[in-house]
Amino acid sequence: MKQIKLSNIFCPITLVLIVFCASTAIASGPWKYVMSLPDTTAELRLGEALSLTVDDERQRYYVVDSSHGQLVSFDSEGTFLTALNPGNRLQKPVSLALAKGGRLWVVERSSNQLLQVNLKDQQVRAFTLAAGEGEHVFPDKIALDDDGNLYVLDRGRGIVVRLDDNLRIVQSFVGEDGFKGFVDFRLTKDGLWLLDSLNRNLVLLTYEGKLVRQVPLTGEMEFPVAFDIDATGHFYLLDRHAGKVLVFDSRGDLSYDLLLKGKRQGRLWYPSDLMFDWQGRLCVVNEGNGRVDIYSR
Amino acid sequence: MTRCIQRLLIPTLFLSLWATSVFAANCLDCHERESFEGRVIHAPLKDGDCQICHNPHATPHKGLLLKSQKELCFECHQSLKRQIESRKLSHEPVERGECTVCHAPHAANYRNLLSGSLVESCAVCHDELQDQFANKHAPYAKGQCNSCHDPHAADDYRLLNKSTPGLCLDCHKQQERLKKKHMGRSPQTMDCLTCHNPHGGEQRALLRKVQHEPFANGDCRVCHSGNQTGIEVCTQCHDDVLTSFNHTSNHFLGAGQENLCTRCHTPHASNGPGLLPGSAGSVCRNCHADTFERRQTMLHRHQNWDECSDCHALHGSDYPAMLKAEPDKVCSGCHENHTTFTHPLGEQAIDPRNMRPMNCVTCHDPNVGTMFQYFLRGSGERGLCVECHQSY
Repeated sequence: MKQIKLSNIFCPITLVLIVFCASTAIASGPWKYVMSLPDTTAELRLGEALSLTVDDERQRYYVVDSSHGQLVSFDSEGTFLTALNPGNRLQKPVSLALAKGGRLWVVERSSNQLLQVNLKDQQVRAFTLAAGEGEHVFPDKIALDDDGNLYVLDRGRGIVVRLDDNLRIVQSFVGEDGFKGFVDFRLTKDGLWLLDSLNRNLVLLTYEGKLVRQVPLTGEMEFPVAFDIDATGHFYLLDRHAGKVLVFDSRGDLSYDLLLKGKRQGRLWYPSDLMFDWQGRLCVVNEGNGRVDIYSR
Repeated sequence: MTRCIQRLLIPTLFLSLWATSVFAANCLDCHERESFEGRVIHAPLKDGDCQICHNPHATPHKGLLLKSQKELCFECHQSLKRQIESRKLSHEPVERGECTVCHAPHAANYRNLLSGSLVESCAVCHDELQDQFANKHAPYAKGQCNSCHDPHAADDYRLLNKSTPGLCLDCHKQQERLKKKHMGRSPQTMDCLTCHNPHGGEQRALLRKVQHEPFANGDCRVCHSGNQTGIEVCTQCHDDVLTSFNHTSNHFLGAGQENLCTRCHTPHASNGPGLLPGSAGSVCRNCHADTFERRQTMLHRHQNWDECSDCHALHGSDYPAMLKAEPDKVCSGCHENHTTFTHPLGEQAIDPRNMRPMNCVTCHDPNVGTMFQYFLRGSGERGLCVECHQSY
């Protein structure tokens, strides 16, 4: 019988432990301010920066500037690239999603329509969504999955809907009894995560709309408006009134909070959106300060 | 041994009795006895034990109190303290620790050492209670505010003893009769206060005075036809209102098939325009409780703040914080002269912290208030100014 040496077991375990500790240390390092979009020294000034989309492939940031009716793009270094208002059709854009083939989807609040923008020829097509006969849909945040399906947060009903190619609703994502309306959502490989802000609750639904689990968020918070999930499964919740980001573990227990309310560089003043970019950097749309702040660790 | 104890105990007892009478007697040598008389006397005073609450020489607290009012009162009234702490909201004087707003600490002619009768004590602050109604709710007519309200703390912002309809049904027990009056709906499923004014009204049923036209006409089927349940119930008549939500920020947030209009509006009757159930503030509190809670903790606050619609566009706005217009314009609506002598504003005064034009709310927080005079966001003597003028 072959004898197993203790050193043969301990070596791989030690190695795994070292790697685990190192990765934990990196993941839990302090967040540091990296840059703002636009840079404070740049001539460009944003009005009300409402939301952000990142292009992972091309490593670009797209900011929705609602009060100036424009979409503003920056490269990975924060250099301003372009400010778009295709066909002058944007008056109060609130949300943006990048589609394949050089197309964009934009939610235009002034008409409650969904605009399809073809960047090549600057053509814009407007669509009004309907839930059924005579039932209104009030689009807010939007996102596309890998198959190009469009997901829209319908503020009128506080639910998310998936649309087909003809922009008909094929799936609704609704909360359980007692839900008070979703305010944000994220598409993940596990399903659709949704934030029920007034109930302080995160909900995971399958792409067929079935409840997988609910994560009640514990800890002091004032007015959560947006969230994202990092690579380790931690939830980052943006508290608009408190001007900070709260970090929760996968069970919803508050781990720590970061950032402070204020107007100086790196501080938040009525922020409206947050997301991670292709490098795992935390991007916070700092509406009250008219900029997007980016942090890394 | 027993003798020994008796020898020690009896003189000690006499000494302590003598001491308390001496303390009381000493105090009352100067402080007029009449001001400590009433049908109800606070126990320490009755026992002549002034030093339970006061230090005769010096303390940092007003009235030579040993501690702050709140700490001092709760030292004995422990069960009340526990009760208050277990509730979500406290009455404002309780929150501030000012027990003497309602109670006389020495003696009074009313139960629980109230300074006046119950209704008089409440009316000192709540002057809206002077409203005259053709028909009054019995407890209101009798001045029994505490039949429905807890004067210290409650889980409801109106400081109700119990949530509705339970509170109402404790007295209004004829449920079958109520069911008939409400189109067969069980009273257990209704919130009575959305339609009825619990203090009084012009009609016998104490309905609130501003009534939705179909409700006032008894034409229930205009809305309750059964075909529609969502916002479409309202937009069949009020379709023009929808465009008021087409703004960057809006209050368009429903939950499933629920009619989102009824999140803020009552479809039947209310006290004021807009069919709001209560003041605008009480409606806004449902979702913005954090703003109201933060305001409670501030020392300097904007007056007459409860009507949120004075400054905010409640359906939607393109301005920050859903203001009706640019902050300067909103403020100058009341503070007309202030723009003539203020710090430069607008494009001529860029805030170096975020490179945005300054406005009134750059320096003031008229929303929740601050710890500084004029609800400035820092000390007006230096702290606030050096935020931008760093060489000052």
